[in-house]
Amino acid sequence: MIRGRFSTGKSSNFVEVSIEVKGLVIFFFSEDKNWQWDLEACSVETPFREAPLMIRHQSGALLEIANYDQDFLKKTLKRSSRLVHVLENKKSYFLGAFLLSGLILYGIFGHGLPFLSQRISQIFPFEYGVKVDEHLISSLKDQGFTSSELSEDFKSEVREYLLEKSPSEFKNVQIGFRKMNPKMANAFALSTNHLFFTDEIFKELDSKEEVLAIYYHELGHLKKKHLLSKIINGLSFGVLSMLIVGDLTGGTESLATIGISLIGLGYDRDLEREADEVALSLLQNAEISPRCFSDALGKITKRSEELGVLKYLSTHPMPKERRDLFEEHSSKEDCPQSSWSSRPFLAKDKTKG
Amino acid sequence: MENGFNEEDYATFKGSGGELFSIWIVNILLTIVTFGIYSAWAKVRIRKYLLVMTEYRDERFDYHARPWPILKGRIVVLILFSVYAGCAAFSPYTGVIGIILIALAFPYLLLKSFQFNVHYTSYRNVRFRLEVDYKQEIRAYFLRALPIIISVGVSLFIAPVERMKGQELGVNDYIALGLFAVNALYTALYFGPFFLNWLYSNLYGNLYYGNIKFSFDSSVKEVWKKIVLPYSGLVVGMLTLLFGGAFFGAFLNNFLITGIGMVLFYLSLIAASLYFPFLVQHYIWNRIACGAGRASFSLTFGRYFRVNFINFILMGLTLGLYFPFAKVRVLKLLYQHRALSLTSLDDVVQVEASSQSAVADEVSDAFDIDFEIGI
Repeated sequence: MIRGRFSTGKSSNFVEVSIEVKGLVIFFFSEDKNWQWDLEACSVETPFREAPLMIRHQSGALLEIANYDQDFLKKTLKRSSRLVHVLENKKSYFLGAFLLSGLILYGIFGHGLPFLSQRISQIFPFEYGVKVDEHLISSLKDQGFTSSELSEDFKSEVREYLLEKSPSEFKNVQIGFRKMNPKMANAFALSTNHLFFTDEIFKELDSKEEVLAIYYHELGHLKKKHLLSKIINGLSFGVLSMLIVGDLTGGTESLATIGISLIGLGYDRDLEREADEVALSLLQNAEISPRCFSDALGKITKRSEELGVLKYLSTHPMPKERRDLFEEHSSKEDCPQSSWSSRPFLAKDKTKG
Repeated sequence: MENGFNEEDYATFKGSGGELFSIWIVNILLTIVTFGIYSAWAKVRIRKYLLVMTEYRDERFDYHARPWPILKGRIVVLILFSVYAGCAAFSPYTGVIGIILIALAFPYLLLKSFQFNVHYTSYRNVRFRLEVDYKQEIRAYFLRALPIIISVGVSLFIAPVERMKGQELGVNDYIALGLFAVNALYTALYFGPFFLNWLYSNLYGNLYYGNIKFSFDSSVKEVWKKIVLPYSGLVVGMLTLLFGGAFFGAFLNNFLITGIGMVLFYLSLIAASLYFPFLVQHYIWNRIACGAGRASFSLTFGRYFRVNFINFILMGLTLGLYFPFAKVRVLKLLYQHRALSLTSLDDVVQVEASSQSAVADEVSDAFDIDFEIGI
């Protein structure tokens, strides 16, 4: 006979009872009284390892059973609660749950969401993409970008050269120039049809071909709509990680979010690799040595290489890994060094930064 | 046992980090495979475990909240936030209005959230409950918050933030900055301590266990003396370390001194994040009483800091997986030093209270507001 205690829910007192289950009815008796509950009218909670099983009646009464056995659990617990009980208590099942959680999380954040984001970005209507770009351009000032100090003649020459070398699908790309604060040689593409160069890039890169190689990399981002897929991926990351780790507390939540963010950075690096592949193919089609990209990258990323940016904390693959890809496909000849005919800066001469 | 308390006046936590870990991992798995739906059940299960494993006088606490209302609360909050985010994307004014509405509802949500958790907590199958006179308490809150609301409104009206960007400051901007400084002073000297006293008095002074009422002896002056002043001292000390270290390091051109200053600064940053909850625990547990019984909190900050600091390091090393073990370690430490002496708890009578909506609890969760009940 199973023993337990019973509380009516009207006061803090309990009485000792003997308990029996027959079908869907639970019977219990004290020395002078007996009760019976329909299990359908009760909630039977999955017990914790060292705690009693608690059967709560809808009236608020409670039956606490400390020495229940597996057979008793089978009779009283719902199937879903039994599953939770088994997962929590059987070591092999728990280990399976632990590994499965890790795998699913990695699958969702490392592959599922990026795949979906890329698919959605490809079918994202062009006109909405233009709106996103317009919004981003208007907010560039808040991100530390100010008007370019390059001469108008130089900007026109760059635009003309790059558009002439563009594949037919990119003949209408809008090329912009900005000064970046703090000063940094950079180029970036928006979601559909805009890409920008910072003034500093023209201090770092010596030849037209090196600028073209960087331009092709940015065209890769535009072709694959990387910015849109990054936005979609980021939003879904935020919502899903909140659902999954949102019930943790303070520091743990932050730590778990760091883990998930590291997977996110892996996605950023994959997009850069993809853009590099497009750049490589465009350079080969234009019969320009892939070494131009390798040289340009070497000059732009010199500072970050000196700082020794950690591989797994970077949004880009390591410069050496990227340069190696282009060097592998380069023949022995160097990158051509064609110069611009106009001067980039009117006020002062080109000075190496 | 300390300060004349008996062993039975201390609660004990009977759970283990390992068991909490297994519950937590199963929660994560089921939350993933149900696309987040199980998160409501997961929340209840963790809270329930922490309470069921807490024993006081050989009896357990329990948590009764049902997952369905929590799930519904989550959906309501998700819809509200989506509408707010959608509107804010089209019009920045909607965003501002949303923030103002949330700020206005904040005190109500705070109390409601606590009331939700109190209502669903029981000991010996008798529920706790919180009886707050919302009308009176919200009025008292806004009366004190009025100077801040008015001055912020005036500042925004005479010196909109957008206009100030990249422009030289005018007379209006200086008035706004002056109002901001007065506001900060008013908040630090009066409104902050008032808010803490208002909150804790409402939470612990209106708390009932069945037909037994808790009492809470608190005042703005005491909050100022026991929480605000010591905490401000630590913050001033931290800033001194930061600037002192940087200044001397730069002055002597000594990297080592700057480095030591920075390490001490980061340590004091962790200390600051722990010191406030420690002071609050100390304040509450030395002022709360139940009937003729009294309470006590005898933990020292040094011990509290050591345990939490080690937890912090271990959580970092395990990317958060140590969390359940850390949680249990801290709970056990707190319970060892919190005592509540009471007369007999037999024949405590259950008093029915109205059921509680989970929406406020979910909104407060979205802002990471959490409360703790139990001994």
